[in-house]
Amino acid sequence: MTAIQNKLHPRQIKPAKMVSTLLRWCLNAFIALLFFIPFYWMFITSVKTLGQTLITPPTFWTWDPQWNNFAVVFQKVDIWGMLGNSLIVTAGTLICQCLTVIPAAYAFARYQFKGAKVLFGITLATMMIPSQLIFLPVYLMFSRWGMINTYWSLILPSASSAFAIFMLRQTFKQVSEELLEAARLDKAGELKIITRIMLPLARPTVVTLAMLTFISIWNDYFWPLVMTTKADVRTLPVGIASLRMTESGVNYQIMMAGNVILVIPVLVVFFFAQKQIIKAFTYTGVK
Amino acid sequence: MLRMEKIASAARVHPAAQTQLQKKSLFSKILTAIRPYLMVAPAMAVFGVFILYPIFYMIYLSFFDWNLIGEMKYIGLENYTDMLADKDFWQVLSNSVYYMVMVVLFQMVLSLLLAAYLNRNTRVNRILQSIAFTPYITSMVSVAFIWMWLMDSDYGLLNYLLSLIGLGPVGWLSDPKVAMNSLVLVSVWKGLGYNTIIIISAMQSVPGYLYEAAALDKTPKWKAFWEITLPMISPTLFFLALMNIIAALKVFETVNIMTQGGPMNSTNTLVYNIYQYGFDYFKIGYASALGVALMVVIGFFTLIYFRVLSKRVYYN
Amino acid sequence: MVCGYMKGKVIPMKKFASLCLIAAMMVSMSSCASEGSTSGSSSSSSAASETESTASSGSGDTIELTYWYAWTDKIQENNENLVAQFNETVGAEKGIHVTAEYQGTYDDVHQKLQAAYVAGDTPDITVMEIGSVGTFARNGVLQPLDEYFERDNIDTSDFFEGLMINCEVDGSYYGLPYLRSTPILYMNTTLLEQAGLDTAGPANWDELADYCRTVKEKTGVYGLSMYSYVWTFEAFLMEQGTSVLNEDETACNIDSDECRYVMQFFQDLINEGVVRCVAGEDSSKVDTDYINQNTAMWMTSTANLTSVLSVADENGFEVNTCYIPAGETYGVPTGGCNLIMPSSLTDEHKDAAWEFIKWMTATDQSAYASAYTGYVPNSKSAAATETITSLWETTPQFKVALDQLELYGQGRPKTTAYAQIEDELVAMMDACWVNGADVNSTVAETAATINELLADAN
Repeated sequence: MTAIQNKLHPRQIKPAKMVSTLLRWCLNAFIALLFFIPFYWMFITSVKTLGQTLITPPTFWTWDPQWNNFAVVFQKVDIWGMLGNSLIVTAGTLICQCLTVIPAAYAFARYQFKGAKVLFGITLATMMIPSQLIFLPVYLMFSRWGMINTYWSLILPSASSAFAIFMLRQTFKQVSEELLEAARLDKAGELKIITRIMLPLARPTVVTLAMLTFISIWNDYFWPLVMTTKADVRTLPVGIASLRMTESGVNYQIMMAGNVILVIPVLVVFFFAQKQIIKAFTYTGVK
Repeated sequence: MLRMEKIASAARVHPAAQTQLQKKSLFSKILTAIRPYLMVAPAMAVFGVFILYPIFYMIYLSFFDWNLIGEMKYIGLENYTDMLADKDFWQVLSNSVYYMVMVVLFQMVLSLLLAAYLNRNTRVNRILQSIAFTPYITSMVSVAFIWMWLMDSDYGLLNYLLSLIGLGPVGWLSDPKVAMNSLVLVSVWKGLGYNTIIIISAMQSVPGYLYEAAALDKTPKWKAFWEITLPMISPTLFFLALMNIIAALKVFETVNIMTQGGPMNSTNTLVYNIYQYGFDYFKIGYASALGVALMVVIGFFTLIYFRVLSKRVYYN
Repeated sequence: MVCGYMKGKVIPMKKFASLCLIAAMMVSMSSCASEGSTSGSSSSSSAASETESTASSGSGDTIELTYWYAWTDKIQENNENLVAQFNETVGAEKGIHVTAEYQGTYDDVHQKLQAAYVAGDTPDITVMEIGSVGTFARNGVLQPLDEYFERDNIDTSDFFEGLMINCEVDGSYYGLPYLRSTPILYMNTTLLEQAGLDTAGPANWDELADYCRTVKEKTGVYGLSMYSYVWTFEAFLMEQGTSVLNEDETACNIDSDECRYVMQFFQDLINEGVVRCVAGEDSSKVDTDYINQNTAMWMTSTANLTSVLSVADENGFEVNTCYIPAGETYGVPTGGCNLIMPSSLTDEHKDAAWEFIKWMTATDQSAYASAYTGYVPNSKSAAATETITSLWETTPQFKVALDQLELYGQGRPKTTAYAQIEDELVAMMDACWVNGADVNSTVAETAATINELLADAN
């Protein structure tokens, strides 16, 4: 065998190397499939009939896709309404975060004032407190204020972000003092300095942070589940999760169809902006 | 740096402006003094109202017996003594810790291996990184749904694949000995890509000359990894470990969607337990006491983390 | 403070940024407009929303009521149809307009009602699973209806006795029976015939065991598929002559010979492989089992009868129903929901809500709902209507539930701790029936836990 191969490949490829390349490709394929198959299984199930989901051995392909499953999802869940809610909540959170994070980060980066250290310490400490810890008291507060089932109960608790303040402060600190002095002498007000100098310089950070917030709020299931009880204000993940509860047994094809609706936008965005998204997340890890 | 210079010139600084001294009015002096406070105020208000105050409120509530609708009844430490005497609480606590340890362990080991494997900056590796990253940005609801279906004990793909090699069927989510591990698997699967990419970026920032020196000494690759790479990326590993610890302790979605704490309470975790007591059993005081317990657990691990970290920094 | 270093990586993504900005702006502009308009629930059927618009534009003095219901499919259609009828007839006459809102499962309804009550934003009428009436009534959430009963001369004796038990808490009435059911035994008679068994079904537990063994032997599928289900467990205990809780709900009867017998009986059959039991949260597996003809018998609510019949029709098998087989005696708990109104309403709304409750539970409507879904008619007069009697002629399976109810229907526990007790019971069944735990020790442990919960609640 080796003799023949050597003849075919005069530039002699060592068998050991071939084996390792082969092994490498097998391993690559395994890694790819490990993450790909679950998604594929979701897609293919979403166009099966109930009967097809319940046969053993399962089928890996169907020639007769049941697009009707998606119509059933739209019937059972107010997809458009909940999509709208998701957009409102995400955009609202983003806007609020801009309004609270940017000035705070600027103040922490650029001013020396009494209590700055304490306040910044508090800010950092809040990073360690997950919302899952305090949802109950926050729920009680909102219900006392009659704000359960409003967008406020979804937006306000995340209207600021300690992580974003921390990151943006670091970026603002890198801007040289001379630049700011020059601008001040030019009679630029602080607002102008922030909007004309600081923000343009920090734009990559701001965009990264916005993207992170967007993804986390968009995907969030816990908070909207706890803070709302009505379909009119619930967001898409909660709506899709409700497909699990049916009286007439689990219909995995319907669940998966709903899931496809939930996943597709994220996958499409990820496909086109994967470099940026991955970089943004990398950014969170290298503090 | 280049960008900053550009902006500086764009800001059109006139040296002449320096000569114009301005008299500041009292008003603008006060404004200057309180300006920083005004600027941090909105953010502090949010933290105060929605994070700090709720913590104290929760501690306060934990001394009461209250079903949300009726009267609040002060009962001192009874919720805590009940909690500590309840074997369910200890089960839930040990479930949470078990889940956390397993997730962090597997997450760190597997992502380190995967990072070492995908470290070289090639096209194929980048594609694989992207693929592995996909679950991380999809909603936990989706991931839970997909795995719930894959893990279905009768019609799921996993048991079918196992049956091909003569194994199973496994009660992924219905066997109390297995169910928690299944949730660990889902969590690791979702987070693996993220952890890997963070580790890779840390690995790539290790200065190349260190390896060159090692190569000159004919240090074997695995030894170089052990002696150079690992110490250099350890701050990142520590950071990831803390993030994974906190993320694991706040697990809720998979429990709520895939198992609802069952079978036989084997996947009931602290957050889910708080949710149950608050929203299913209407025992607000007890749920708050559980919340305090969770806070203690999180605080405990955060503290350990910083202890270890500060020691490390000190030795450096 | 963390890790000490930060990389000033500059990320070029102007495009993405501007896209995001545009998206954010568009959304923020549209959000103001859509805040009001998203509230129209899309789940309501078109028939209902049409009448909605005509009725509300009709007169200026119309009282607007909100009505919460649970479940989808046939039950949803039934709710929407009845509400539409009400709005056209009595509602139009008395100036009441009702909007029906779907809320999910019973648990969802209860959770939402609680939240809404605290926030002072309750619906005017809602369905309530009968096991929760006690909890909500004792916490003052529910409006006692005694004076309304008196005012309108409600004949409580017309309603089936077993159904009124959970309408009453501590001597007051808090609701009227609406969509009520009992568990019954469903049988795939096609499979039973294959196994050479009588399609009338097993009459007692010994026969049930025989049926299961024969089915397994002759056809290879399970005799009975079940899950850790508190409701049928209540029935099993009743049939052994006991109940989950004692009379005044101060202790449980779990640590008893009867309960041990029940647990052991099914555990043995499960170990033999002729009965299959899945965990509580896997309940849907029972449905897949019967749809796939993987089991000859299963127990579920009468409410599912219509959908079971249509599934059987689609999949080419025949279905019969019978009482849950007798142990020492026959006995089943009732289930389903009552209609209730919160105590926080204004008097005007209470009066209007009462009109709705009265109408929804009256003879003709009850007959309609029963025929549409499979729930039992709630009153003797409803059972005597043409709708029901003719239904029984064509599909006699419907009658089983009512007979069983009339003869043996009992109530469900009312203690505020029952939600938590139910979870304990499910865990006990999971342990013994799904995971083969020892019956004696598991039962003793569960009993102790439940007794503690009861002691806390009282």
